[in-house]
Amino acid sequence: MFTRLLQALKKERVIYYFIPAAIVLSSLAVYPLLNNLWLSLHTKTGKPSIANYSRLFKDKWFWNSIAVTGKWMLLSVTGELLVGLILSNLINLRLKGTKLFRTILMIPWMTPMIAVCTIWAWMYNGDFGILNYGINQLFGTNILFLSKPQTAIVWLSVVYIWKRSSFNMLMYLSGLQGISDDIYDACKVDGAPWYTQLFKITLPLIFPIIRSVLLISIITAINQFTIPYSITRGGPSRSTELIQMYIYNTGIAGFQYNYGATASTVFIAIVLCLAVVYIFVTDKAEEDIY
Amino acid sequence: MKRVKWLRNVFAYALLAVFLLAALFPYYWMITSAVRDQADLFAIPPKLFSSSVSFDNFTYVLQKTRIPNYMLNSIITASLATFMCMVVSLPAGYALARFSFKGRNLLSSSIILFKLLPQSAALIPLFIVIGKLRMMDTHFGLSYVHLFSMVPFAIWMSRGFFKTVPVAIEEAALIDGCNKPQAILRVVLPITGPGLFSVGVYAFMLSWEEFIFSYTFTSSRAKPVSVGIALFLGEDANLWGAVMASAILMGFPVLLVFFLLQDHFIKGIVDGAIKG
Repeated sequence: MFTRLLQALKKERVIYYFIPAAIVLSSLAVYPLLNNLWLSLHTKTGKPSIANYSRLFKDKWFWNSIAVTGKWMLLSVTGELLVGLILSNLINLRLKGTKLFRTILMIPWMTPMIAVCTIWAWMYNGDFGILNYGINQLFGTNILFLSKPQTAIVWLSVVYIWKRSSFNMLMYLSGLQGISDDIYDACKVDGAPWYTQLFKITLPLIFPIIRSVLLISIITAINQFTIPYSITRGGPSRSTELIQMYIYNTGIAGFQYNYGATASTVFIAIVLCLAVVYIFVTDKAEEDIY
Repeated sequence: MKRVKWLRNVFAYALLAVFLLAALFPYYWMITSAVRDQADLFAIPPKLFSSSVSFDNFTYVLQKTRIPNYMLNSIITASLATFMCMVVSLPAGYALARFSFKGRNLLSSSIILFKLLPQSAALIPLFIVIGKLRMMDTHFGLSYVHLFSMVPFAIWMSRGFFKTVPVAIEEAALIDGCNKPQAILRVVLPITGPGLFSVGVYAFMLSWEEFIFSYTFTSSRAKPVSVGIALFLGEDANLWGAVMASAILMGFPVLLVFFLLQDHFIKGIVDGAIKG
């Protein structure tokens, strides 16, 4: 028995390489996932119940945070997609100085998030902010960047887009550089105008990459916490409270572990669905490309 | 035809200039705000250019606030976390790149899944456990929870770099009489060295800038600089110059390292995100 076990261990050598990572990830991710589910299905005193869920689905602030997250996702993802596509196409023209431009454009992406938030909080400042002043000089109106509940989320997403676009640029660039020049040359010979090139060649060929990047962008966007937390603290009147802030505020700051875990479980379910789609789609994309 | 190309280039340069300005202006504003005196900082209307240069904000941050302590905490936590992260992730990344075995695709997929998991998914259970283990507000506790996002990332990025080593080189070393650990140490690691170094640096940065866990799991002794700056930001409206100075102290070392290692970073990140 023992020798057979030893033999089996020797044979399955590959598994050794994964043991340390498995220990760390199961303690930090798998256990918490299961514990979240368990907590959500029990009351504070440990009685099994689904009361947490019925309370959550009636909670107006939970739905508020879902709506805010949805708005945030639409704004940020569209923004970073468009800016990323424009930048990657500009860089791909291979003008003089391209490498320097690319490096400069990457700076926001490499700057720590909290440093980015401090810069923008200062620029958005209502009394002494440079942006308010600039807009006032140019257009003669004042924009209340962070104090209007209807639009605060838009200005926060600008910060996010500013930081994340160059990541998108890099991804699309790697796709664009994979397209052979021969195709474009053939196009020129046939006399196709630039928009035909764009819509019939470039976009279809990098579509698999756009699809993957889009899914990563969606997941990364809804996982955001630092920007609203450090710049607006979720305000004004909870109009920038993303779902992760809602979970933090109820579960950790409000000490309602079970209730917070319920919101968290619902959120995890959403993210996992998106992640599975992403994995499925990238596998397919790989077959397409290689 | 040539004229069209010339026009296109002018247009492209103009557009690039706009984007470069948008990317760089916030830094200009951050740096100049940090080295202004109070009168210029809060001038109405704001002054785009300021003649005053003073490093009062930096001396204030370094001498009168706890930011230097927080920086030290961040360095300790991030170093500890990076060490643990590399020990745990490199074998896994290596095995994913090198061996073919049953369930490899499933394993790869689950690592991507971990990479995409939101931090709030682990927040409450870890808060309870860390509290019970009395590891709240300790460097070790914080660095361990930082592994949540660092390990999946490091496994994935290092896998890409290990894949660049041809199996034949490793086999040649084995034939020449190396055993497996020797082959890895003497052949694989030197080739992948710069790539793995950038994995380590990236892991360090993930810990350095991490916010939500750091904010939850520390209160004073182990508080890292990211949390320190966030609290500084919310604290007092008249310290903007000092807030900018501390953001510079936190951000610029990271940017410096990025400039030195950017090719490796870019390769690692792009490969990791696209080639599933």
